[in-house]
Amino acid sequence: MKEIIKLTGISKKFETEFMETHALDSLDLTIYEGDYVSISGPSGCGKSTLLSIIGLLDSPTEGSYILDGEDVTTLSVNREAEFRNKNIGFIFQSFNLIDDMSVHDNVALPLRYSSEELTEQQVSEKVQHYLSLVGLEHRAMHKPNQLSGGQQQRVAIARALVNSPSILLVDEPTGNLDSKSGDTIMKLLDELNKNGSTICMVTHDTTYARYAKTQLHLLDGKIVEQNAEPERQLEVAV
Amino acid sequence: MKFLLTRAWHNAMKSSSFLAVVVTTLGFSLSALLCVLTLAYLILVEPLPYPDQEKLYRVDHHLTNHEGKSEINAFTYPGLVDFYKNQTEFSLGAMVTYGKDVLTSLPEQPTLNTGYVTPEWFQLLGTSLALGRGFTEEEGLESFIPQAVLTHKTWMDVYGGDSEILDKTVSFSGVNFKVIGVLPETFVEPEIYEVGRQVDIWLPWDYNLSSGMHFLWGNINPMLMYVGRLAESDQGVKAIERSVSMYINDTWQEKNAHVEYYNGWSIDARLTPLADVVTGDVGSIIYLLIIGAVGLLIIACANITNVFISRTANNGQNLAISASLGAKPRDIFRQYFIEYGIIIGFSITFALLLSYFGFVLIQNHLADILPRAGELQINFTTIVCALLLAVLLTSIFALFSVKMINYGALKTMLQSSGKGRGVQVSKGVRTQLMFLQVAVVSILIFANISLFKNAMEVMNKPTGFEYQDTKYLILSISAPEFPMPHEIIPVMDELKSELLALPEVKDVSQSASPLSGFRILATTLAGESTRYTPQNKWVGDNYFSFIGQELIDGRTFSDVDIRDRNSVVVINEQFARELAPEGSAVGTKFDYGNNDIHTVIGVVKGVAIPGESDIPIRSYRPAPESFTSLMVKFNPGQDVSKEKVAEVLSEIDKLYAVFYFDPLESIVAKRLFAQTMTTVVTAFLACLLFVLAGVGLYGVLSYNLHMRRAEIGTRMAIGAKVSDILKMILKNTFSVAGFGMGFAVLVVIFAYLNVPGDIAEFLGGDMVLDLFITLLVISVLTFIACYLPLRAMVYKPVISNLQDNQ
Ligand SMILES: Nc1ncnc2c1ncn2[C@@H]1O[C@H](COP(=O)(O)OP(=O)(O)OP(=O)(O)O)[C@@H](O)[C@H]1O
Ligand SMILES: [Mg+2]
Repeated sequence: MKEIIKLTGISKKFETEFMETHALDSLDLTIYEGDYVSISGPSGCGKSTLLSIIGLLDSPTEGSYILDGEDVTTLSVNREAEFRNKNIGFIFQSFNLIDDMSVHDNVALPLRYSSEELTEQQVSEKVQHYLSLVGLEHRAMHKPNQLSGGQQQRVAIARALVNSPSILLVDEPTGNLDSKSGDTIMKLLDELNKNGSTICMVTHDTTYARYAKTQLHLLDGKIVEQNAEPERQLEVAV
Repeated sequence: MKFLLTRAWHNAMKSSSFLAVVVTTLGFSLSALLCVLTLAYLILVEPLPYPDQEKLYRVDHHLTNHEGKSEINAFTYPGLVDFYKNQTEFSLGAMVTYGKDVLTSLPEQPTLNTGYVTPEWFQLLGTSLALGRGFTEEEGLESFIPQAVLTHKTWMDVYGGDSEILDKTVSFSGVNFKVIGVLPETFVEPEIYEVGRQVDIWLPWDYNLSSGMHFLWGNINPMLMYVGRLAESDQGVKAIERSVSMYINDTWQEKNAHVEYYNGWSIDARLTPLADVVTGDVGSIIYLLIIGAVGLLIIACANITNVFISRTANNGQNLAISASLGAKPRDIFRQYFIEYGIIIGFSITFALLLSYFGFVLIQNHLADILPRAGELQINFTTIVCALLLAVLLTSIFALFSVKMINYGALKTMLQSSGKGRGVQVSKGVRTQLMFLQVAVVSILIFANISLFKNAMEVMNKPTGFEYQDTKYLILSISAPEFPMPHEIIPVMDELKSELLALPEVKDVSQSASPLSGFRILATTLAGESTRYTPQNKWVGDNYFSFIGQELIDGRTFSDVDIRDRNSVVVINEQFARELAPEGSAVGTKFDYGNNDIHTVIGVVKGVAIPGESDIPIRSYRPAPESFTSLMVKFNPGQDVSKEKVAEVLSEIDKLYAVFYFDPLESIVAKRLFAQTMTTVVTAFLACLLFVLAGVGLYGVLSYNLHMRRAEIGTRMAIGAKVSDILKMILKNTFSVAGFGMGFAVLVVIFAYLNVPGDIAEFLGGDMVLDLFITLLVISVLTFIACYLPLRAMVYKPVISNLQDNQ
């Protein structure tokens, strides 16, 4: 199985005026292609910090990080941006859609920053494809604030997928949603994983965590428990 | 309440850079406004500091000629004295006139401003003396008692505060005056002849310099004045004016009945309140100054509003917490009011401090332009204005901050992880603010650059002649009878050779200075009726080489021309071009009236007096050998003092005194005073504006960026490179700034097409270049104001832009 993410001895220290916080403490983690990892743990244990380091939104204080076979521990700002663009899709709790752009343009945004030159035609086709994947092809010309929370999160998912990233990073995807919309999103993620996407998701919700094949528990910046569901692992292995 | 105060104090002090920006910006603009308002109050509202000042009037004589055209505003000498003796409308009235004379009793021989008055003058002004007494009946009209009253300043500056000054003697024009009094320091002289002209020493009327005209009913003199206090009467001022007119006119007609020239002429008397006389026509200047200062304050406020906006926005979280704890909008307003009150209190204090220096500056530099400048000080008016402005500004800013708060959204802001949507200025308003900022600043910077360049150009314009290391000497003769030319000539000859014998002196020329005025003479071409009115100056034989004015045709004066007073004239090239556009003007003959024919012997290059934009037509004629003005040129870096010249002079003849001896350079400086002031003021304003504009733009742009932080974070998470973000932000910013600049260009062009000719001319010339410079400056400023906060943002870990609070 191909290693998509390999973290070794990752520590993250935040220094503020008054104190030093060890958000992550010599953490090792490997995520394989096609896996669906959930990370849970009490508030402040370092879940979001871990996700930002995986997503190259922040850099670790110590440790090494190999993404898709390449060492990304120390990269130039521009190379980091390229990696994020090509290899990583983000799904945030607060959607983070850009308000004054249409749904279509929001989804197309990663393509605009891509080094690959695409014609408008190709861009449109891709956007249309992923919007229909999340069931929103008929909302392409809406503005994000004209959509419900669940629909906005689906737009965000389409945007995360549009560049076919190696991994989807998901932080509390249902935190701002009612349970019905939350269920829809979780089903969608599950389907994506079944179709081959690698997912790493942070969640409080234990029922949602069970969707994942590998469930990690984080406490004080360390992984304390790891239980992969055997039957699911089997499914993948087959 | 105590809690509120300490909290407000803590908040106000939290950011020292914020405090510094607000206090300096507001301090400078408020102090400008305070200075102007105090001045306006003093000039337009505050009564003159004299008893019954509203009853004090100056009587003006107004002559109208036979065609009903008004001629001049001036008394005849005997007419004034007659009115003084016989008038009945004023309970108290004084004659006043002015002069300038050399104080010959001191070795330095200073030239002092003299005032000649009848004794009522000090009574009218309610003056009490610091030492001795003022003039009384004893020194009244035609008493010829030579006594003097010194001003406090003269006592201090000239006599070093000598405590034995009373009974000492001061000598002017050969008369010895006994000092009988010294005015107090608090004495305020009403400047009724000329703003900024302060009398140094007061002498009895009888000794005035015009007294030679005492029998001339046909000669008028604008320096002769009558000031009086109206008697109690039921009549209105207009009625009194009529009866005064009748009396003056009748007397004058009777005395001039035999003069054919004055047939059909008449005199009106005008009564002008002393307050109006002193204030003059400065009112419009004051209003302009107020508009300017208010404008400056508005720009400053617009800027500060931006700073306050970003501050309020940054405090969103705190506000949300207060709101959730039950603070009502009124409470939040109160909190802001106290907090801003503290900040603006500092600004006002700073502004008052600056105003104090402003007043000193005005007194030292603008006393010649602004009436009553000497009375300026921080007073009740200043303080009241300061307090009112403070309350007004505090309320406006506090209100603005509260208006920004979307109170309903505040509470939800805490619950959701929204991006502080409870406190923000909408994108539209932000765009408008930025547009306005750029447009206003562009226009103002353009105006400043133009004014500044114009003033610099005038100042640096080459004069075409040399005036360095040269002093201009004017003599006065203090003899009761003016000497005849043949008596003066040997004195002047000896003075010239004595001066030339001094090692410091390089050359001497018995000429009027190139900087002092010219006399306009009417002349016709001999035997023709074509009229010319060239400016004329008397010069010596070496004048042109002395000042380095180039001869371009014919010759200059020879010593024979001077000695024999030959009827020859040298003209400048501007005049020559008018006379003979093609050939040479040499040989042209002029008639200066009564067959006084002069022949042109040479043409010199035209020179401009500093401050002059066009060179007028000019002619130069040989100065008489008895001419009592000299130019003295020194070896480079050397100099001779006034005392030294006075000493040389008194050894030759005691009757001669130094009336004036100053470097030509200081005359140039004086002539360029307005330009210098403009340059200094515009340079200062430009700097201030530049800083204000920078702060303002920075405020708007960084706030804009702050509002887009989450968006920028998202874009970067998706893979936007730093250069992508930079490009996007610069494009957005410059599209708005570009509109602002475009608007400014339109306004400038509109102004250029619609203002009266002379301003348009001033705007013209390098307008395109000035505009280009302005736009460049604004663009650079915008770029910096945009790039600095953006850089801080994009080089941080991307996640920090995605986190909600900061
Ligand atoms: N920018 C920062 N500066 C200082 N400390 C930080 C910063 N970001 C996170 N921390 C600290 O690091 C620790 C881990 O934070 P993190 O956001 O990863 O927790 P979390 O597990 O995601 O919590 P939650 O479930 O509440 O989202 C916390 O103690 C937090 O206070
Ligand atoms: Mg978290």
